[in-house]
Amino acid sequence: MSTALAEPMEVTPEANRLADAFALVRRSKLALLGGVITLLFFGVGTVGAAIVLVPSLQHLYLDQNLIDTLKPPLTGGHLLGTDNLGRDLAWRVAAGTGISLLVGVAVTALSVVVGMTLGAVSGYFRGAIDWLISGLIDLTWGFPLLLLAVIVVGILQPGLTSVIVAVAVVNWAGFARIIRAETMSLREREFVEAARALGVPHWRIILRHVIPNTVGSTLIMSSYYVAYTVIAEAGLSFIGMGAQAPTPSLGVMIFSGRDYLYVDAWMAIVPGVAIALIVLGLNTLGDSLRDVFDPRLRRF
Amino acid sequence: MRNFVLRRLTFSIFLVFLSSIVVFFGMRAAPGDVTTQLVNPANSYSAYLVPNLKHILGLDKPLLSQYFSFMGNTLRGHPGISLINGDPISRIIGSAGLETLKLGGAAFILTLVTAIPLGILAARRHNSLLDQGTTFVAVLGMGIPNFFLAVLLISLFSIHLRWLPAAGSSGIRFLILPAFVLSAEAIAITLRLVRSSVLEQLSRDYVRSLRARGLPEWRVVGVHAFRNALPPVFALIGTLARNLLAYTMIVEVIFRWPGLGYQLVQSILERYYTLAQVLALMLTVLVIFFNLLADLGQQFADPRVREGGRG
Amino acid sequence: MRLAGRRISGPKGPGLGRRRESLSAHDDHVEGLLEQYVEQSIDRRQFFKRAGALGLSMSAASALLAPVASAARRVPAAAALTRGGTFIEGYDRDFTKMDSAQSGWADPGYYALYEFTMIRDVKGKIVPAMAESWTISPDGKTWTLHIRKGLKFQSGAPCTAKDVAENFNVFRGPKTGQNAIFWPPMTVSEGPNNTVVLKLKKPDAALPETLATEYSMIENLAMRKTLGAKYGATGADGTGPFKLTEFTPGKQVRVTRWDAYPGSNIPFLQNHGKAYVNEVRWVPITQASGRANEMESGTVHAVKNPAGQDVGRLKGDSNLVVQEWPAIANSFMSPNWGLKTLGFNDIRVRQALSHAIDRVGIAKSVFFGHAVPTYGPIAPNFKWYNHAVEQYNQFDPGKAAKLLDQAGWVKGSSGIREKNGQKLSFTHLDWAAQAQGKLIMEAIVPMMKNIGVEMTVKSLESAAFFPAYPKSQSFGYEWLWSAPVDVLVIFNVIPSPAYNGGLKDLKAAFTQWQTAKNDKQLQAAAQKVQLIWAAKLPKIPIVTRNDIWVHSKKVHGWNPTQTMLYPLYNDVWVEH
Repeated sequence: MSTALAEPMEVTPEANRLADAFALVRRSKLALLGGVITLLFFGVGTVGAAIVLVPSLQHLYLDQNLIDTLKPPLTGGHLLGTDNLGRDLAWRVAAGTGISLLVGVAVTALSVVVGMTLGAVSGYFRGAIDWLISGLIDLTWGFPLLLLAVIVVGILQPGLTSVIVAVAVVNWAGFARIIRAETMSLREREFVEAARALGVPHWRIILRHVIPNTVGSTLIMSSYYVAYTVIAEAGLSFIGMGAQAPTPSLGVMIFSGRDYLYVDAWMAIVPGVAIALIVLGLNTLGDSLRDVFDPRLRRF
Repeated sequence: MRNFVLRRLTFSIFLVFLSSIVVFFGMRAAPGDVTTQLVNPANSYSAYLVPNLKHILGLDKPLLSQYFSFMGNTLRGHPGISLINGDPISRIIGSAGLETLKLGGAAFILTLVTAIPLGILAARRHNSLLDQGTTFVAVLGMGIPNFFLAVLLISLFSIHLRWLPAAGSSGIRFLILPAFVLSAEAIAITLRLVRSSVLEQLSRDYVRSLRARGLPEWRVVGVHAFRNALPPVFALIGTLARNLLAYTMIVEVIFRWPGLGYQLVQSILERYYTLAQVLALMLTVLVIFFNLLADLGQQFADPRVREGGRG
Repeated sequence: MRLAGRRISGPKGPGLGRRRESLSAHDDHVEGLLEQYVEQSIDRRQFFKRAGALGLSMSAASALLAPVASAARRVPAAAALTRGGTFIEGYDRDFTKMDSAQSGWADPGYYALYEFTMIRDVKGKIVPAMAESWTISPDGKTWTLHIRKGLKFQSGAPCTAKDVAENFNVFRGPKTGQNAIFWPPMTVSEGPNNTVVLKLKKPDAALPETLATEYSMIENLAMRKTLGAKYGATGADGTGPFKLTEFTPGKQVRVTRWDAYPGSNIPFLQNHGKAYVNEVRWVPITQASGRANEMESGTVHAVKNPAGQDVGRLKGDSNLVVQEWPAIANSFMSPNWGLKTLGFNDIRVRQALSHAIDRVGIAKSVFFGHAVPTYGPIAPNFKWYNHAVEQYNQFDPGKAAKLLDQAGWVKGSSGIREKNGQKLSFTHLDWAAQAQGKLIMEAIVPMMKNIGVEMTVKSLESAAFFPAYPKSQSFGYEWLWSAPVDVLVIFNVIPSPAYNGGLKDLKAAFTQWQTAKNDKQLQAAAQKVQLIWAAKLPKIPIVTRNDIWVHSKKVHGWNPTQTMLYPLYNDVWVEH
């Protein structure tokens, strides 16, 4: 046995698939649109996150002017107009997008780590542990986020932290489910058997061989789940259980804007369109990626 | 299959009890309680009134004993009275449940009545303007968050056109906007599914032979193809029902529709313990049931999604 | 009211002593009177009598009548009184139990189900209701209330002086009555000939103010005992013109006319018999913008407090009548004196915070002009308002900055003021249920930043707010109560004396109020209280929002006033 083969390597087909994906995106107009919108989301979101997190920049979305309230777009130096306290709507939407991005990424990262770990462990080891974890998965992954979130918020107090906890508690199961299925099929492959025969420890197999092969599915799911999280955060903030004013969460802005629909509909419409665009972009991207990688992941 | 159902049932019962404990102790652990709604704090800072009230409501007994009496009463069907206004909880749940049923039922019917015919038509006229149009609308329906849709519709139909009321529940007119908003995503999903399913059927051989036999087109598509296209749609019902249950909360709050979702949000925010506990329990049971239905449906429709292997 | 294209308004002559805000309200009462005359629900003699009660001279009243009288002949008579039908009223919050002794707040439904022993008229004067007259002994310590004979509860049980006395005892007991704090120490007993005798420990001329509140309305205590915690929800029993039919919080409260109602003797009511409408229904419309919307689409007949931005539109709607005046309320901010580190116990710091607030700007942006800046603790339309408060608390950021400098708070490198290493930075708690409080505070945060004070606002729901606010660094609140000075007494010690600091002169003024022997002394005490409050700021008053009452032109006899929380329903009738 050649020492060069200390650990059997399998050429991941994923790399080829990735190239296919980019080719597809370039060709399909819808996929391209989805990609562009997602990029825009990340761009604006990063700027927004910056102005939310950096204290000296916060004035951009906090400065108020009690005389110039509820102005329509393109008046007085405000690209999208002002809200009921004279604050610049464009900066507020940017900040809101930033918050959505932060929450979306934070929750998804959390869910991926937990979901991947549990899913891989469950699919790899089978037996009692699998029984337990897949039972948990079955029950959690379909649980309506909103209901759970309302209860969690009731216990923890409204706020972005509660939203993150609530969404993560449900989201991990979606990842775990897919990872588990993939792990179960992967573990039957020859290279894994060979590695076992060589005495490679379990954790190494999982980490270096199983997980990298699930990247594609994870990417697709992440795209959907970030969109899902953005809606969930906005929805919860809308009914008063998420971010609180004056935090410029997009959901909070739509909620405040409701009262002014007659005098200045922009206040509610701009953040709403922003959310819709973000979600559509992410969903479309996810759909195209899925069409390339794995039609089995068809999500309803 | 049987192993699956058995395991689910075990876990479900466990989950119901777990959630009852979490909700009960969690809410008590949170600061504040329902007495702030019953006693105007600014008007009676004399320290007598609140402890007296707590005693009457049984809130000063040890938590564990409160939990057991609550569970005991609920399981026997007498969860007690609302702490806020003395209304028997069974009555509250009854009337709120009816309202939610009205809303959910209307949304469900709306979904079926809209999505199925449109889906069939779109499949029949594959790639036509109608087909592309409905697909586009469906994509929108899945992307636009329902609370934003509600705001848009209220702005248009209620504030500017004055055709429909913005909130409330005193008649059929009040049902239109909430039912539509609630069903928006369901319509989009069902539409796409019906379309793709019927499309798939239309490419089958038996369709060609039926047509060759001279059957009118509407029978071929509307009866035979449609019937064969149904299984995946049936599978969807559990998922749809579960999603509807979740969205009713937002829709009820926006449109001030006094159903279970509205009551849940209110009772949690204002710490109406008993009501919140009962509602949370009820909704957990419902969700678990719908989930089971959804998963069974999935397995029935698509064996590839079945959990990997047996044992 | 517009008749033949001319707007008819009340007299503005000198010597009538009214201010601008109450002038518009006065107009509405005069207009209401004219409307009633045209509708022929009152005759000429009654018109003059009531116009006189509003302060109009005979000549002024006749002048008003002239164009109307001729117009009345030209224009077909307005709708005649029609009985029956349902009156639907939109409410700006959700419902609490229909129980005057023990509830979360007071709902308009109380005015339909229950009655007062005495009540305030449009000018705030206490007039008879269930107590048709009362006498006070010369030493001011013994009050004898003569209760009307033949009164009954809706269940059929009689309501005598004995029942009234028992109610009073429930109301004034700290363990049983939510309003007990306002009752002076006394003994209550039934007297001969259907009277209630109150023996006070010390004379208290303000006692009627307490009796004329919503928490002193008379209930059937026997039924209350039977139903226990369910009283006010599954059933209620009072002496008012309607009986409780349905109580579904979140959805509606319905009451039906009680046909055996013996009628009311309240002087300013026109209908002294049973009610006109068959049913009154209240629906909660917690979203402010929804209230205007439902008025315009006709799903409700009347509503309270539409959102400020919608009022202009409603006023332009020819199918609606809009009445507006400052509420008997005030939104204030309360920094915690007990926290010496933040310097709130230093009068200069409090005054600085107050001078930083642009009250006019808030009234304009948050309330769209439908609010009144308050420089003292009570709004200008109070019958005993003290003008002198306006010399304090004017918007002056320059002065605020100077005061803070003098107090030793100097701007640091971050732009926030510091003293001895402590930043002038605090968290303000806001009660989420009062949506406008949040907006006011949102507007104030940058105003504070402007003078170098860093304020963060945390908005909490009731269940979380009330336990937290006594320990907060600052909290905000809006009180709404028909007896303003009594409320100030409460808020001087809420959440605790340590929180607000003990102001000796203020306490003395309150004692003066509570031991006043007649109206003149009450007025003097009230004015003193306001002045000291404005100067020393135990709490910082901000604005008083206007109460805005809207009703469809098809509704008649629905007359909210500035002195009681809600209108009575005896006179209400709806065209149908």
